[in-house]
Amino acid sequence: MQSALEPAPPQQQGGMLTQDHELLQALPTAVYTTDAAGRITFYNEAAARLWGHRPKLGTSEWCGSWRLYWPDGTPLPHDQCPMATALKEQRPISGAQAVCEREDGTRISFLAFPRPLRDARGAVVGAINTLVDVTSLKTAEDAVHRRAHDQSALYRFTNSLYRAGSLPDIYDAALDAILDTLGCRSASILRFDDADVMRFVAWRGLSEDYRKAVDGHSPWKAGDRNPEPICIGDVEKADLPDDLRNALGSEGIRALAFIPITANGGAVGKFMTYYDSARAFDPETIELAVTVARQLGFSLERAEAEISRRAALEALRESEERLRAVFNSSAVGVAILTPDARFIEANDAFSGISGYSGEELRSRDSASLTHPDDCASMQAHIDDLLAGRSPSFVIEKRYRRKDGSIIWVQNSVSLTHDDVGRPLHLVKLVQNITERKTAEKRQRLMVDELNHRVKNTLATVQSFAVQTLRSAPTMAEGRKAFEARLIALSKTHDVLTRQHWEGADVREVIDEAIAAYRGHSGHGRFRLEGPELILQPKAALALSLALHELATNAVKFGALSNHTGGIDIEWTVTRQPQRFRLLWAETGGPKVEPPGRRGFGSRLVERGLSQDLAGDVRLDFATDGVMCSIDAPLHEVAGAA
Amino acid sequence: MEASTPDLMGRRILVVEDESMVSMLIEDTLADMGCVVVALASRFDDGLSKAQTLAFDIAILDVNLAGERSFGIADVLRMRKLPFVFATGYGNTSIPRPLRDVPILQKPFARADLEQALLLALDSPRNT
Repeated sequence: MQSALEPAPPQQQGGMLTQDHELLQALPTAVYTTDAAGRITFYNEAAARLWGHRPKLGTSEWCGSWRLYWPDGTPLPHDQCPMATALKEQRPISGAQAVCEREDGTRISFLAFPRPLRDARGAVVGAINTLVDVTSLKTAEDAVHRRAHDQSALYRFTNSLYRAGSLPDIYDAALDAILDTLGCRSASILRFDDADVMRFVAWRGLSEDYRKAVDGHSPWKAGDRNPEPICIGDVEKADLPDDLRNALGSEGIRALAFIPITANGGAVGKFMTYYDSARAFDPETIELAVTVARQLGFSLERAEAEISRRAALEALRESEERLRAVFNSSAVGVAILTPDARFIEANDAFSGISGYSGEELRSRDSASLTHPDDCASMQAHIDDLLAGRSPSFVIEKRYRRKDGSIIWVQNSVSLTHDDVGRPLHLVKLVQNITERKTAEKRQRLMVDELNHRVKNTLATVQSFAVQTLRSAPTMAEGRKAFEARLIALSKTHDVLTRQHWEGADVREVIDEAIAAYRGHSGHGRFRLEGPELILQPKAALALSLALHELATNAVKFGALSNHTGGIDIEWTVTRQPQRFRLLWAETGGPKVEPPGRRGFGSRLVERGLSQDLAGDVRLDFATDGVMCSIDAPLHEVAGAA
Repeated sequence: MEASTPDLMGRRILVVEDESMVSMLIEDTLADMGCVVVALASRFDDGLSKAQTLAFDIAILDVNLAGERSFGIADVLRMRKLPFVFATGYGNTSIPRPLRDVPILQKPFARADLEQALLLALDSPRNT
């Protein structure tokens, strides 16, 4: 075996093959021969072309190529090449695949067909190898493989995008697809932020320094309509700003591509591919990158639409929740009605005001709650709303509650419209203002009553003035009498005011009327006797004024005009019949002379008192002393006790 | 004694007024004007029966008679086509709409006010 492998004498070998060499040289196929030890003894020009190299005859072993690789690209040592195998194993090999690399770096795929050569005794004396260049076939096959690979990667990408639940998921799937299909060593995705500045959102195999250095850089503006991919095949030869070139250099990037991402027709960002070595970007690669970018763009479009749809839904839900809370907890009644004023919904406060549950209201309209007298005006206001003559209105009206009671409410009504401007809902805010209305009415009555009293008092004063002055002998006496009567009226008002004009006790009224004369003429000259009785204000006033007249007369002419007289005032209340009687009796005074002409005083007592009490009043100028008797129906005199 | 107004001279008047002092003043003023007070009433029932039965030319009607409104009496006077005036301290807002055209004597009043109110009532087309 060992001897068999020893090189045969060249002469012998040469003699044997010289003629054949010419033949072989003429073949277009690469052919070479070796001796039994594998040393190359001959090669034709076709072989030299395929190798791109000329081996040394008698020295180069096994194969004339510069470098060899297995089809998968791993280096193939020459002593393991198909020719070596054929010689060592002394068998022919048909169509073994390998790749040779030329000195210029190009690679050639070839099929080898080595076959041992034997002498007449059958001993191996050498070998012949035929090499068939299959590079063009190989390239086509690679292209098919690559296309299949890319299709599969794109399919996986689409599938991942379909399953992606968030933007980071989408970016992740896109980076997988980019790295898988575009053969780059690293990649990144950048998006325009809210200020339209391009920012990194996802990356693989990029340092933080690099990202910081190039952050914000963009060849396009946000929303650009037709951004084109930009490829830089060799950073060292490209016209680039220094800082960018430095950043790329520090990161070891020799080639890169900018692939725009568009959504809704405009640029929203880009993805980048980075390569260690300079390269030519072939149209297929760019086409593939654009396909990935398009897929990514659609996916972002869909995801962001979904995100904003969810955000809008969430915002709507929150807003509805807030409104619902306000609606439910409001102290103000709120109701939603159709434009023809049928109830759709009402809150608890509205039910509280109207007495109807939300359910009961749904089968009613506004008019069925409104007091009949207020319906026409309400409808007129609603007509104005529907006709667009006013945006809202406020009205005070009456409601008939479910229990039949009538309440006053303030209604603030506005109209909402749908997207195309048609009337949608009447929104009604309702407050119960019954208390305010009642208070207003009470106040109006009080003001009326006050006015009435003031006017009547003024009329009484006017009457005093006219009649006092008419009957007075002199201006001075008239004035004095007028003042005295005015003060008597005022004192009675004091008594009534103390009791809020609800009435006054008869004794208190009498005490007040005679108080001035007690001080003036000494104590103990009046004797008062009678039961408790609350007098009506009007009766108290009339009695007080009459007593004042009687006392004035007593001071001038009667029991109080000397030092011995006295006055008994007695009153009684009988229930059967219901009468009030009062007797004024003067004793111990000077002898009484009946007045020649009855003055205002007498008239006020007899005529005034009898009219005001609707009773009988008699004034008797008896010789022993003036007597005045009053006899009136109790209901004209007595007030609410 | 002041000069009396010819148109009112001898007119017979019904006075319905619950305030004695005011009615006395009205009586005296009417007397000064040459009018005759045919009757005085200070309560609603009394006023109503006198308004229905007595013969007179014109009535002076206090709106508030001891807390009772006198509009019922006004209706009787309307039916009898007898002129009248309201005496009140309230103003005309408290008077029902159908009676708003009745002349009003605002308390307190001057003699000229009383004359004018009575003449206005006598001139009213309702009484012709």
